[in-house]
Amino acid sequence: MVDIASYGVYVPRYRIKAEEINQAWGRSGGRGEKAVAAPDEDVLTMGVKAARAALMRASLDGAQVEAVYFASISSGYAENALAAQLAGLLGANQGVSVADFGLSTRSVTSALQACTDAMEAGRIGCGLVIASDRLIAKPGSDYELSYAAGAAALVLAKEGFASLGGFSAYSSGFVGRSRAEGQFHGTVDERFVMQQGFLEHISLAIQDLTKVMNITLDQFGQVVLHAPDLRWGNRALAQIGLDPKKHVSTFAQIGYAGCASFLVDLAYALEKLTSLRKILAVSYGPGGSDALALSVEKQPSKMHGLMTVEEQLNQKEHVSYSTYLRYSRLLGGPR
Amino acid sequence: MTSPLVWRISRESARLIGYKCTSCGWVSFPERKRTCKRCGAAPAEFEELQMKPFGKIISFVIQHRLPEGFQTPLPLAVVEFDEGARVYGEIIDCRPEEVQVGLEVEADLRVMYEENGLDIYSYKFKPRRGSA
Ligand SMILES: [Zn+2]
Repeated sequence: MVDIASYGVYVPRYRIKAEEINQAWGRSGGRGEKAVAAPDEDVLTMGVKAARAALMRASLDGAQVEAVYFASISSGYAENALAAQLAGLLGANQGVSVADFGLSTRSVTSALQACTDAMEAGRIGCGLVIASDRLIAKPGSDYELSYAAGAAALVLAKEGFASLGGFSAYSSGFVGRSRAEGQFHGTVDERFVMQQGFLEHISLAIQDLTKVMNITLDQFGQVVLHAPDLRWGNRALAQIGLDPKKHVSTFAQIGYAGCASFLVDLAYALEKLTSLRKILAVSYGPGGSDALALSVEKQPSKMHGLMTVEEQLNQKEHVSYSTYLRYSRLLGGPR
Repeated sequence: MTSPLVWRISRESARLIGYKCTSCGWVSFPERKRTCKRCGAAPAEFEELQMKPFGKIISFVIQHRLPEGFQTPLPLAVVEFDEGARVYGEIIDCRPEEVQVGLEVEADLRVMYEENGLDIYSYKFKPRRGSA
């Protein structure tokens, strides 16, 4: 059995309102806001904080972790070892299993699956899965309204408060949003990508999961959908026939932070335990989708000195568009 | 490339590992010293100490004139960790006028600078807020 023993989330302190971004570009209105990293924060500093929070909640020492798997699409490096650097910062032993996952936001569930596999094979007894992203959109583009920063981590162990009950993958060669090294995301036919990419892939992954597990959708109390756009998530709920009240999402408060968004929302769902204790969590990215079923056995422990996801969503400071641009470091300047 | 200097103290500085003098309890951070600055033991015996990320501001300056590459005004402070070690560092996540002697701060891992395209990390200090 593979359990989730702990989670940790890091949401940067700063926010910018969609309205403020629109105003800068001569547009009016705008709903929601997104999290903005400080200029001296990157995927590694954010990832460390999420991971340390996860270890602290489980009262674990870095040396007790036997695997550190890291997922990110925005490290900015073509060659570097971030999982190994994270392992070092966390105080893991030198024999720790490390792996870097990327190139698709879906890689967050690839990392989760790899860690689960290592546990089921008996190779490790406790692993850490970390996702961290700092997405920077082209100024003035639609993506600028949602591309955000954040990190989250899960500790997997033999005994925890939630169990990973099922996993279904659906892969195709379809690529929606993509990005060349050092460049911004290019514009795509969003409607087509939503229909042919997102909706199609997550539906088929969910369909397979329910079949394999012999379970119906109404047995899930909470749903996490890895949607890069708020409208996509809502469309998916309608198409698949899921109760919007079951949808757990931090999108309107902190935006979309690639690989991290999936784990942040999952952590948020774990924290808001409902009477139906099953969670459906579906990742999405270029290439496909993974669907997971989790059973929450008990409420995760509250730790003194450790902020809840809810508290992190609420502790914030709004910045102007010019400060946001400076923080994005698109114009260079000091850290 | 990780430079020799960064590599030498990376474990200590990035994980807040200090060295405590076994005869008087003085804590050295991030380097392990040969002699103790407080009791004068030479050579001194030090033991590893995992420090907590908390401390308070002992003194500070607000820098207004700095070379290119620094954001000004920049608060710089001498911070004393709860374990006793004193370090010099940047104060972040607050307005310069909020900085004061005695302010409780928390060490926060941040990018310090870039070296040949590689981010180099160390601690800066932010005011302690909420349950964090
Ligand atoms: Zn001494």
